[in-house]
Amino acid sequence: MADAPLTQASADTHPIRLVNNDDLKRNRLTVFFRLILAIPHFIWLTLWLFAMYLVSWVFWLIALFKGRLPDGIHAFVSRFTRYSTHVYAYTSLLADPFPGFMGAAGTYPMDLEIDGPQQQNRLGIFFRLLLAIPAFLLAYVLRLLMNVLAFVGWFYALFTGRMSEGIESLGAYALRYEAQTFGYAFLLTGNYPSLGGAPTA
Amino acid sequence: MSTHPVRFVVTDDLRRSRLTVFFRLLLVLPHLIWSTIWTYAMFPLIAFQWLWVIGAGNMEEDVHRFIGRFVRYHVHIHAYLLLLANPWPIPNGREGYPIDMELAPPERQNRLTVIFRLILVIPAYVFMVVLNTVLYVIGFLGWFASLALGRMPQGMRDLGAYCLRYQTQTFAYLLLLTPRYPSLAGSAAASQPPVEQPPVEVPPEPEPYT
Repeated sequence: MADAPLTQASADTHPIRLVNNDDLKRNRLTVFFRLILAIPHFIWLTLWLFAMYLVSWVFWLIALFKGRLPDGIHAFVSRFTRYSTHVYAYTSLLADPFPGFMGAAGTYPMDLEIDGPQQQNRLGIFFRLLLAIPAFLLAYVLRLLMNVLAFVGWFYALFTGRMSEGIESLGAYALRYEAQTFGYAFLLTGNYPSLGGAPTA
Repeated sequence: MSTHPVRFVVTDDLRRSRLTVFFRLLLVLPHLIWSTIWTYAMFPLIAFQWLWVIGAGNMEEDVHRFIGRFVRYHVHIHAYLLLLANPWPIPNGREGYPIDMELAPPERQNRLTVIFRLILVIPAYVFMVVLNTVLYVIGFLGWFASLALGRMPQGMRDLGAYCLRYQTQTFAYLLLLTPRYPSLAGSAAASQPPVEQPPVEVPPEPEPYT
């Protein structure tokens, strides 16, 4: 049985997919100062997240009434989800370039493809936060895993000037699951986060 | 990258018996007792083997097979406990369980890495602890999923098997079964039961131009 790269998350059919175009090369200088360089993003992401918490109740009511998110709101929440993915990819060393601040599609090597708004089950929308609890639990553990991967990957990237493919594949898998969990919780999609495309033994 | 000497073969069909899933923690108790006894019995052997491999440079084939069975038995117990497989394992660590371990024959090892094995294994051990957390969360969520559906979701089973495989490679490295460091790279090959394909008719090759 030959070792092979992990199954690419982009191959699955979930409405939120991760596209990985990273070349594994890392700049040692930016790797060394990665956490300091990411501070503006941490501040901006916190502000954005705070705003999301405030308005997501309104979005929830609108979605409950219409059975789906309106296009404009869907685009806004997509940008937020994509931006958080870019920032987490940057801080976890899963990608090298400094991300933009607007979460624009196609601007980062570790990017999200998000399908347009779909009609959703109103009962599913009503109980969304409750339904998302198992996914949040798993996303939390996978976040812990990503932090450990980033810690070990930091040394690896500093020594070799590139990221280990095994670390990146597993990190990308965890990042995708987290993005799908965000997307589900913030009503971007009615599809539950998928463990499909899991690394196989 | 060459094949890792410690590999997994997954032939599980995802079906679960709700009754044995419900009582899984109770059913696994005899295995936990037996594995504890076996583990204690292994300590002096492993200590002796450590000295042996430092001196001889490799492990005797019989001893390698015996320690391999011990590690394989742990794979079976964990797979059973965490719902990655359904049948009650046979407590002898022999091959044939739906989540199984394949072990390559012993190879020559660098004595220096054998001496410092306990230190060298630390980074892998850290990864293993985190992946174990993922594994146990999957076992917990999988319990509800299996009870409700009568089957284990494939994504959960695959991720669980991946975590268990990393854990097994770490133990194999620690117990001197292999000099190869545990690998985070996954493998898509040979992890599914073979699916019978209808025979494909191959068109005859065209006559070569002369």
